[in-house]
Amino acid sequence: MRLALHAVSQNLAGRKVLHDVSFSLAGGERIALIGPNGAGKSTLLRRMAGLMQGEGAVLFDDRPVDALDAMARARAIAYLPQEKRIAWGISVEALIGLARLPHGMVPDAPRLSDIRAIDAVLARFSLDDWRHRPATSLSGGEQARVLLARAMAVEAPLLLADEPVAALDPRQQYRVLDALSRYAAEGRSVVAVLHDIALALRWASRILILDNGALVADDAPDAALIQARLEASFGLTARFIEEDGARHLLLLPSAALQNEDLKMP
Amino acid sequence: MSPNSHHFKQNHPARLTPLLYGVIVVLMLLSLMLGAARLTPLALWHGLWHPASLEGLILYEIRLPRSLLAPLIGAAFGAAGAALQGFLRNPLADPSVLGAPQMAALGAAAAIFWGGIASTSLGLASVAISFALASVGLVVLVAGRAASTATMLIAGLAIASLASALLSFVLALSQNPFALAEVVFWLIGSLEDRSWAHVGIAVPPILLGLGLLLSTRRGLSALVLGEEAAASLGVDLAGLRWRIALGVALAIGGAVSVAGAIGFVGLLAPHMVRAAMGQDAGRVVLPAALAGAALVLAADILARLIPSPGEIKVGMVTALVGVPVFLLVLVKNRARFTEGL
Repeated sequence: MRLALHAVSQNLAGRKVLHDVSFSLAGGERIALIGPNGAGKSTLLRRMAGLMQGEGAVLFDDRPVDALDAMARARAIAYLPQEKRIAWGISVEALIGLARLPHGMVPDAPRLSDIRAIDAVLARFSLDDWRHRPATSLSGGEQARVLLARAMAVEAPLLLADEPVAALDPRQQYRVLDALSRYAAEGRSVVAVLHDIALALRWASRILILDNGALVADDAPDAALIQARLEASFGLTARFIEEDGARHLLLLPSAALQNEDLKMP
Repeated sequence: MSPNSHHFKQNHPARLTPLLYGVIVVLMLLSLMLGAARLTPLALWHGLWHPASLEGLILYEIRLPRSLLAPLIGAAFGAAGAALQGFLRNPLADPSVLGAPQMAALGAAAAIFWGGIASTSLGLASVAISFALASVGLVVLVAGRAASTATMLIAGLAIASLASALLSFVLALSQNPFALAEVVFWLIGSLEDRSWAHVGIAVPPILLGLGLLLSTRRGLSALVLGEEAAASLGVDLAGLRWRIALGVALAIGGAVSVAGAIGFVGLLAPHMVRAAMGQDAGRVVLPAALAGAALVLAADILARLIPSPGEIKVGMVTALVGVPVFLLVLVKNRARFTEGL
């Protein structure tokens, strides 16, 4: 699997949201896409998923994603949108089952292979107890887990996840990133939009920083690089501290962000 | 089979769908038997084999067209309501809430009284379908992208009121002595005195419309996750939008051109089957069509049975049941709807 972006630009409502973004990715990568709000992260993900047309080219295995047949594209690239609303109360099982649509499942008549795949996902994500519960009756964090499980259940070689850990408590965030790592360990690639920079550094094998629509960093999670970029893009200073032989990231607000009301107690 | 596979069948329509088919058959038999002149099952059987006999005439010329049109029209409204509710992700969406049947009625009445089109020609259905498409198109193609409840209801109300006013206007100008009665027919809907010619013009558009609406089931199921996720699952959103707009217009236009704007079936039928079927918008379409068929059949039988000096119209019965349900759904979802206002 190889996804390549060549000079991808995007205009939305007269505003240039993406400027000449180029990079490529291969199987097994864990890519964190970070950047301030409004930097164009979600738009970039949509372009990568082939859900949006614009300037430049997005090639999946050397073929333009928008030239792929919709079902073939759906099997190749799984996508978890930022909006995580569930419109009506279908069961958790039926929601996971939607991942079988690109594989040709007819909702009224699941084949044995569909049923097996759904059972496997429910077991893998420990969702068995919720199988028959209306997905809308779950808490926000639980819904987020189910929606991510749905996206992973497509079993596509590339998973694009827009803020998969938003609205999750810190423990759940670690769990979700662990699940994403295991997904990538099977030779697939994951691109995740993350806001928690420390978490991104822990999880990712590669960090992309998008600022104002431009790709300003594309590298391994390297401390020096992060330190320089954080100041420019986020107004944050990075300090690494050692504790019990492990390194941890500490983010300090720059002088401009410091304020009497936001002092640490 | 995997050990858990039986669970998957739990929300399966396997039981509801045959049940609804059975109910429709029973209601059709009742519809053939009941009316001004009651036919016993024996008389029905006699008439079936002797078309020239009195029983045969009642059966073939009066009852059968009506008993075939009722379920067809009900299915059209039921499927259209289910598809619209799923597509707009709004449980209050219904063809008549969006003004589609009222527009179709306006088109049909204008075609008859101004265009000189015979009331039993396919040309009439075409005009009704075009008018329905205009109103559905407005909501589905323009406001359809996650239109708020308020926008949808206000736009629908405006279209419906305009269509009703224009319909009265058209009929008032037609110098037709029965203009008032005609307005009532078109806006309330009735199956009285329908003939084989009416069956002939309603069947092709309704079947075509039902086919289109049933073809959207996969897409409607995926829309539970929103348009982006549905697209990422291989759903062609533009195609889905067109199939729904065209399917609703064909089904509703075809139904209205022979029976007027029978209201609220499109709202009632999907809500009736959801209790048994679960919420999946895609899976509700077929059972909602069947429930709609049963509903209009039952309402038409009831309209014939209630003793009254004038004709009780089938649309009066569906509105009497439909409006309270509409209000109930509105109250139950009030918290959710106010967010969108």
